[in-house]
Amino acid sequence: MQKDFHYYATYCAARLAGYGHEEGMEICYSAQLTDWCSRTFLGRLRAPKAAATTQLQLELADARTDLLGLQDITRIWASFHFLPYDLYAKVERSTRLYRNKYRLICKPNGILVKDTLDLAKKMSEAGAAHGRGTQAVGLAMHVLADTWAHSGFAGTPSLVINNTNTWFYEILSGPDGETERPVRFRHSPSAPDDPKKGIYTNSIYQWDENSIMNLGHGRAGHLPDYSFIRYRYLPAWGEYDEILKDNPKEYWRAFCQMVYAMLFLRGKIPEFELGHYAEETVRPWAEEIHRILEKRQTDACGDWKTLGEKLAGQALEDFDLEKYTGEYLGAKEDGKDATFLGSFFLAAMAQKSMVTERIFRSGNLLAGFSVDFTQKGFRGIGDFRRLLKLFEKEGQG
Amino acid sequence: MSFTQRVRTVLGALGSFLGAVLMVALEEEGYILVLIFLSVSLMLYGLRELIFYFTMARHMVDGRAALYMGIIVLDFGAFAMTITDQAGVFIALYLLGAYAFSGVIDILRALEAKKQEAGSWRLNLTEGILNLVFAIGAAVFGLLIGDMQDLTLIYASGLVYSGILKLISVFRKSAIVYIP
Repeated sequence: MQKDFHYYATYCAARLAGYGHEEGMEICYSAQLTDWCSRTFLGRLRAPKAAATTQLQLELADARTDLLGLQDITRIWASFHFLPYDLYAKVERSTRLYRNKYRLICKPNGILVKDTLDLAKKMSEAGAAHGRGTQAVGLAMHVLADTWAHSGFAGTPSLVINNTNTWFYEILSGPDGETERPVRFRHSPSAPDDPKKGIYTNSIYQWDENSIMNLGHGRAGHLPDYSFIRYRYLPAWGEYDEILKDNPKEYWRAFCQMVYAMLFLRGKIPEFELGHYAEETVRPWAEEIHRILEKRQTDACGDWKTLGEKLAGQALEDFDLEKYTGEYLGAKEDGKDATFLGSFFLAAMAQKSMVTERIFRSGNLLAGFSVDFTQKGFRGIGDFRRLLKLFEKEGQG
Repeated sequence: MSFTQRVRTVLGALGSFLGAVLMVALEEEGYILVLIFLSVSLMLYGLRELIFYFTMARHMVDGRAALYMGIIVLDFGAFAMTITDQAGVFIALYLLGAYAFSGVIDILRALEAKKQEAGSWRLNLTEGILNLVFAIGAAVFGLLIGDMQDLTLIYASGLVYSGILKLISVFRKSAIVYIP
């Protein structure tokens, strides 16, 4: 998904879930920051590098694809953008090598979505003590929303999972009913996608299992990120069974699940249950939301912003990456964790730690090793020590 | 190009330079050494493709390509090993054939990249065409003149040229599609 959904639509969802304007802005800021919190950004702030939630183009271009490099990539992309659906999925007559990759395929409503929401609740309650509870909420909304858009792809470089071929058709609705046309992919980072002609940019075909080009939905270009599009294609892992991706329907579900999740995080619902959607809460705005979701445009920021302003009764500020950097840089060393960005970094490390631990516990080493701090004492990367302190403090409280 | 790809390409370039030096320094023995190296490389690559197929790609749509590629390349490698005791001119012709074949592959890849509007196609096409021209030129020259020393020099210069192009590609800016 892109800024239109992660920022403006997330604001709308937060307001519908009952958050106020300021909280809504902080939540959508945190959701969008998940696409910007790279090691480059963290390095500039002298912040813990382990809090990286994404890798920028230049970082990916130089990323190592040896064992440790792949684990680093997987920790970031599987934790925040391609949450695995079933870490214990069975694949008949398969090797462990294949199964481990297959088990990282992202889909909505996996058990890790519930774990993400439960963790976000814990983190937001811990942060609320010093008025910083919204960062974990925003981050969780990013992860949840991406499980819908990125469904069918894995957050690890893999040709056998993430590849697509020429069997790729866009389904168009018109006055004469539905028609289809083959999607024409090109590899031109500078040329914008052209939905009118059906020409889209994707990553180039690389016959290499671990090539960066085979990370996530790169081979399907940005199609999964567009709410208007409907298409059918052959996923590499699907044994020649076609997938029909109906983004307007799935984005609607994503939006309603975000509202439901935030009702849970606000304490209005006692337990987060998978497969539940706050459709009744959203219904008064359904017509307008469907109109935005189905409009053929590659950037829906304007429409979502208008809806957000209608809900807020005031203008919404645009996303500004530098908004909170001054506060973080100006804070004393022992006060950084209590700043807006400091709380976001803690939430990010907690999410990464949780997902890595779940993957490791399933017997899969693609995201690396995980050590339980509470059982075995601190043995991990120094950055995570501050997370341990937070949990210890919470335990004492 | 990722860091790992850059390392692999640099190693490939160094291999080309080493091959050229061996051929010029050792003449006929040099040919045999290069042929053995090529044969082992092809067999290892073929085996790797077969292992990839049986462990992973057999579940993948279009994954059978790994099986076919593995068998064909392994076969080429095994065949190359069987001609190491032949006369130098046969070995040279085989190496030139392999060189020309890699040129054709480069051209096909470049045309595919062009179809996808990828910026890298020009360098690949140039490399492919020049490899092909080098190979055909050296074969004709070698057969007509029948001088192994000249043939060796042409072949070695082709290897050096190919190595230089590989090094250039390592330092080229690479653009990739960013996935948010």
